[in-house]
Amino acid sequence: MSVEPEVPIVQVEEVRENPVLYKIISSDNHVFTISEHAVKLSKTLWDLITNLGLTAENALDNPIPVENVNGKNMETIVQFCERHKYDEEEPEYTNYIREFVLPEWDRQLLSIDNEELFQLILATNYLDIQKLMDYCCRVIGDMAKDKTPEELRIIYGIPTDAEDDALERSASDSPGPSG
Amino acid sequence: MQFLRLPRVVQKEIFDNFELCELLFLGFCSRRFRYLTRSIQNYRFKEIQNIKYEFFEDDSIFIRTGYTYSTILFAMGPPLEDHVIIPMEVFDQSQWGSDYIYDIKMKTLVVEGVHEYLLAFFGPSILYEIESTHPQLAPSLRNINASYIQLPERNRGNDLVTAKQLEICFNRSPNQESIRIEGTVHGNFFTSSVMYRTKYLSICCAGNKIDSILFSFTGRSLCIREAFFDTSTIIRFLNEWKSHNGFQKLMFFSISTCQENVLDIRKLMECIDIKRLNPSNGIFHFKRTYRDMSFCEWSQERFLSSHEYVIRDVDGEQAAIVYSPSHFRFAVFSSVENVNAFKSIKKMI
Repeated sequence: MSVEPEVPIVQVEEVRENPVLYKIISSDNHVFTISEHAVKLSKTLWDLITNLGLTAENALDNPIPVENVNGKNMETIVQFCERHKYDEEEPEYTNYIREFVLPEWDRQLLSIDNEELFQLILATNYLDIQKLMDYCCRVIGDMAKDKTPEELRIIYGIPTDAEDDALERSASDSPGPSG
Repeated sequence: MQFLRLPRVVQKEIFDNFELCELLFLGFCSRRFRYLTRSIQNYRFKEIQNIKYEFFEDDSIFIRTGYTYSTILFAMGPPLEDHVIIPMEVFDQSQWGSDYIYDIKMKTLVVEGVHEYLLAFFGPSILYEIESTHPQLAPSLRNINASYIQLPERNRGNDLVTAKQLEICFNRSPNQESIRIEGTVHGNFFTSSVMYRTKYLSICCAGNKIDSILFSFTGRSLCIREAFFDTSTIIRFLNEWKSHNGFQKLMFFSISTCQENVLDIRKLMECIDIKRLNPSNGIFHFKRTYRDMSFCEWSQERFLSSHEYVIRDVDGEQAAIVYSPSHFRFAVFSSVENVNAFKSIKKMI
């Protein structure tokens, strides 16, 4: 696989403890290196690495293209995974409510605008990183605190009943595929 | 952010961060969002078995759920002097979560609105209850299964609630499973009151004649407290039960009075064939269910023991009785409950 990166390789965090590194290429051709422990946090990426049979010897020669995630989101994701690669496994949730405290470092990392967070959560979902998903969802949930329904509609982009009704009317008025 | 465009699995993860009361609040955003919340979080909503509305004297209203009603869905109260209710004109959130303020002049409208909202979320099949200690009766709501109403006392500057007002209170939920009324009602209860159709009725009857209640009741359990009654009423009741002329469904009846020597025991024994179990053959003990408003399930308590009983002539059904000059209790029993006593009676028959 030969991809010419348009930007320099992003070394998010130097990995001393684990010499096994993988290369990931984002949809806009940014190249990232990520350690084995960190990449394991993404079920999608780790399944891919396992299926491709990448090893310590050939990993860096075979970058993994991830077409659904752009460089900006990938950078955040790699930072996150490197930060949490040695975290203990989370206990299974026994309650409906996610009971955890969002660490300050992660809150800072996820202090991005709404649209960026929207894109990041889609990327996280695609790469199947449960912990980052939990954290993103907590941030999105926290946005609702102390807001009125009107404010929530703006934050979450929820149409009003009148807008939904108008949309439904226009959909039913417009001719179908045959007409 | 286009929340509605997120994958369903992500929407679920986000909703999982909210408490139940917060999910209910999110439902105010729009009809579509409410449907989405309900469908994605259905696995949480369907675990809800009961909802209780509590109306307090200071106009606060709590709506709770859970086995011990520990989860608050709505905590509503009147606004402070300087607070203007804007968003929904009569109803506003005072603090994120479950706290709301409402215009007390529009109390009925607000309560009805919230109740309809909850019915839409949780459906009509769960248990909806009302507990009221407010001097004014609670708004009449549909689909209520149980009510506990503490009526105001006259000496606290309130007028007594009339029987008609009480009847109106049950207008929209005439087929409740349990009704318990504490306090005094002004005037006699209606002979056709919907209360008589409830399964479990517990009522305070100061000033009311009990005959219309007792002989109109068609449910399983009737408790009458502070009653005016005489021996002839109890004799008539027992005769009707024994001859199968009424009370076919009745399993428990208790009546008590504050007066002394109301029940003429000698006359009762003369008029009714009361059997007596030999103490060596055991004693009747009874478990009878009653509605405890502190818990969402029908609690059980052993509260009756007796050596005396009566037999229904038609089918041999037996009922233990306990009496004194100021109270009378009656409980139909089964062989399963009192094996020894039952065997002993069979031998005697």
